[in-house]
Amino acid sequence: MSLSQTRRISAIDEAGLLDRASALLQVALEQGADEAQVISRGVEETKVRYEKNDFTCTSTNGKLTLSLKVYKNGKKGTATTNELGVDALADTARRALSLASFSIEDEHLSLPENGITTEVPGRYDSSLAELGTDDLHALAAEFIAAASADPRISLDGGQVEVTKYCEALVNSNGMSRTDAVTRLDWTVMGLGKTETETTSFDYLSDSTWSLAGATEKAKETAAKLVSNILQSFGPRSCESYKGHIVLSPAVVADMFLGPISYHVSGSSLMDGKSRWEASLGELVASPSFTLVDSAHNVKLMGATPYDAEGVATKPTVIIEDGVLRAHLDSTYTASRRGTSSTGHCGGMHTIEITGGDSTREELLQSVDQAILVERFSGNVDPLTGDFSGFAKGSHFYKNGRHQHPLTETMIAGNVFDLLKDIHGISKDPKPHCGRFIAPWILVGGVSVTGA
Amino acid sequence: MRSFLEAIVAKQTGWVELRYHRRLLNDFTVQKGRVDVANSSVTGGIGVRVLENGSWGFASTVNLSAAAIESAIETARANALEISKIQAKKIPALPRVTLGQGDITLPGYDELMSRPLEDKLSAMVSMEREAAGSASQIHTAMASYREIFEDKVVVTSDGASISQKLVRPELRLVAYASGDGEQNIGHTSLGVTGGWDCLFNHHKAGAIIEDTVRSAVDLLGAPHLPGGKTKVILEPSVVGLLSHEAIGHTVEADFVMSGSVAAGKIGKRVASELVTLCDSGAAEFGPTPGGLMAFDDEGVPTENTVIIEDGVFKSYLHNRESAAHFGVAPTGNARAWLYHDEPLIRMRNTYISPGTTSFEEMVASTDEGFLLVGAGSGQADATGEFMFGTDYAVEIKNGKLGRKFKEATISGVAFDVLSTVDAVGSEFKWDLGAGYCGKWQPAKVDAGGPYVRCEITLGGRQ
Repeated sequence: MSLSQTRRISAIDEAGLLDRASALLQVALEQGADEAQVISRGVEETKVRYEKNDFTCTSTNGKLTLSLKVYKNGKKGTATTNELGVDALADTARRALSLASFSIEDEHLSLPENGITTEVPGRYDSSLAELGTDDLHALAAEFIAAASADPRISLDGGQVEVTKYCEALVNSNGMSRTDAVTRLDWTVMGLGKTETETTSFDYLSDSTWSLAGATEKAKETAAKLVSNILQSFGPRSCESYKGHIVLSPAVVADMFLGPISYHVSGSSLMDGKSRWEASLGELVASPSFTLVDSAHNVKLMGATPYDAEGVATKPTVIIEDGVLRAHLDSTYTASRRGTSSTGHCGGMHTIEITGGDSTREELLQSVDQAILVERFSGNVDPLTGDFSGFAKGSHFYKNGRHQHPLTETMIAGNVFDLLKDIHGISKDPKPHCGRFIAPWILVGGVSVTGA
Repeated sequence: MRSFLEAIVAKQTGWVELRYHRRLLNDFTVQKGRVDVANSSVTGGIGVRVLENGSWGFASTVNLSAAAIESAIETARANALEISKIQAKKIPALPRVTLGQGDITLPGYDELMSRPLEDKLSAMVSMEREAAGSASQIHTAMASYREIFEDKVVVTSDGASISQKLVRPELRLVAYASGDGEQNIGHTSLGVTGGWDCLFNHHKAGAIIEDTVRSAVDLLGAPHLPGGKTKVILEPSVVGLLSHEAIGHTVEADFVMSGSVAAGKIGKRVASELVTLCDSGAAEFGPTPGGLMAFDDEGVPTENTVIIEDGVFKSYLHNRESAAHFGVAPTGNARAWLYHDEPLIRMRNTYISPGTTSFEEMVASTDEGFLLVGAGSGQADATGEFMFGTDYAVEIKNGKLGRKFKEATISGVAFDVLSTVDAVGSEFKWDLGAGYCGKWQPAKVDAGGPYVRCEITLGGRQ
């Protein structure tokens, strides 16, 4: 059975989406909008789900969404539909304009002008777009077999999903964009179980734009999960202390990126919520810390030629050697703040934290004791930077030597304090889960609470 | 739509489920006197599920024509046949159960649909303005309103034919305070299944501005909570979160079959005898919780499922497949977020039943500990280990409430914590606010209970 027989529920292509977007734009302008923007998105996806240690269901979905933004008399309204037909377009325009009619006037509302974008190749693979359901099942079976490689592993859930995603964006300033990507995503969640012990669960996921090498990459994810779980048998608690911990790339992202993103965003800055409003050019982190939104790095799944309103993206250095270098703006926040859009409507795209000069083991050997935190299950307040939660998949080290896995261990502190209390960064940062590139980081001043 | 789908199903062989779902979502966000969000969104389509050759197959379509739906059925069948080649255990035929028939509209739907959107936005503008001007330390306020109208029809080849309409309005108020170089957030959220008046009859609605602003201002300069195991009184929202995160997820039958800590616990004592814990599609002890529904997304009537009764474990949460596996009746816990999502085992309204101790008696009889207020987000583990955040803690010393502490993240092992319960309050509240649960797909849920006293680990500062 080929995918063309099983997956194609609705015909989705860039030209068709551009026609639909243009039609809705025309309807909105005819109904009286001063300015309008339409994004039409089409998705074809097939996913295979694994639960209760067995494959459970394969599902195929065709989705189509039209999102309209209108400005009229300096007021904004938005409406979205996935319904088909001329009536649906007219109704969508009517709903958006009705909302705008009783909204509040805002002189800063405007749509971006058309501009030149840079192509970001390497995100569409026709062999993935045409992948058959039988081939998807074969790939999923290899992935799950690798994740079930040890009899002590019990898999709670997993999923492999192939998606073809097309988009068209038009606005009344003459902007017209189309984009198409393919992606394969996989995720698996499992735990270790023997007659006497059940470990904490762990989960990993990753993604790719293309079919080549996908099976091997998925099996690497599975092997990493197996390794994490097997190392977590026999956990004990540790004495409470305040001091060093080593953050995995996943924890670096979970803890650092929310607060950093919040305080460099134009919306926080224009509302007086950012602690870094007057910090451009100042040291906000350890001199060893550099963070870049590369925007076009196709090793990460956020790579895109334009942002959520069609403005071209470009590489942006946000923190360089600890010094804050950029604030991030959309057209609206830029107008409010008297700056220019940086192509960040919708946030950052592909995030890279630069590596240091140590190995992970050297980081652990450089302090008397530390816990190595593989996963953080807790809360981070992006405004204050305060965090508190479980150190999952963690291990206790003394004098650089592994002591035991940890259970019921909580960590608490403040992200902005940690950024200035970095004692080492590992070399060779790697992409993690397709979301970011980050190294291992040794930080101090963290409260560790054992059971 | 119901008769249209019945006609399509009647032509099919084998087990087929058609689920039509149209969602109208309107939302507003007002901040600093401007309208950041004024949005109206329509999402609709048909989800098709088949059980073929002992395997599930699923497909969906946004095209509501008979031909498109029949094509989706064929796609779902092809998916089922294909996955059956790699599936180890075949799913047996679903046992016969009483399935819903007829049309039902839950209270509030028509009233909220007819209320002008302009009035709803106007209420948010007023609320934001009042909150922003109510204390000198408040520099920004944000008021958000969201209403989700759900129209669903479920028709199956073994007898379900039900249409259900309901609406879930939500309200969020956030206040940002600053002082002495420090910032802090206060927030309150409400969520119900019902109309506008129902939302504003929520027990938190009357003082929503005052409570939100006070929580933002009072915590400026407040100390961090010390870490360690201690006696605590949990307020109803935190009890609800404990019931949902720490117990509810571990008793979902699919999770049990994967090896959760609740496996093999039926009939065993797992909690203090003061604890009775349930998950219900209805509104026990208090009106209009956010997870109210008459039928689940398999067409099974919802019920009040007693999970723990007087400390003894009684039941898991089931869909039709897991109920057949365990040889029990389904509990009406199959839920799908949108038309293109498959129904999964999800909670509805999860709670601990009220006891006999008043809040005042509970505080007065506590020598040392903390009152934990406001449910944050959290996670639970297969081991029963859980953590979640609360908004703040109030110190209790010698039976009296004292100063406030911020950053109150709590943790424990679910059944161990429930075994330490030594007092259960008499006042009941649904109190998860505008809460959602995540498990492959979102689900609108509620949770609550009375005040409960127990021992728990605080993840504070050393």
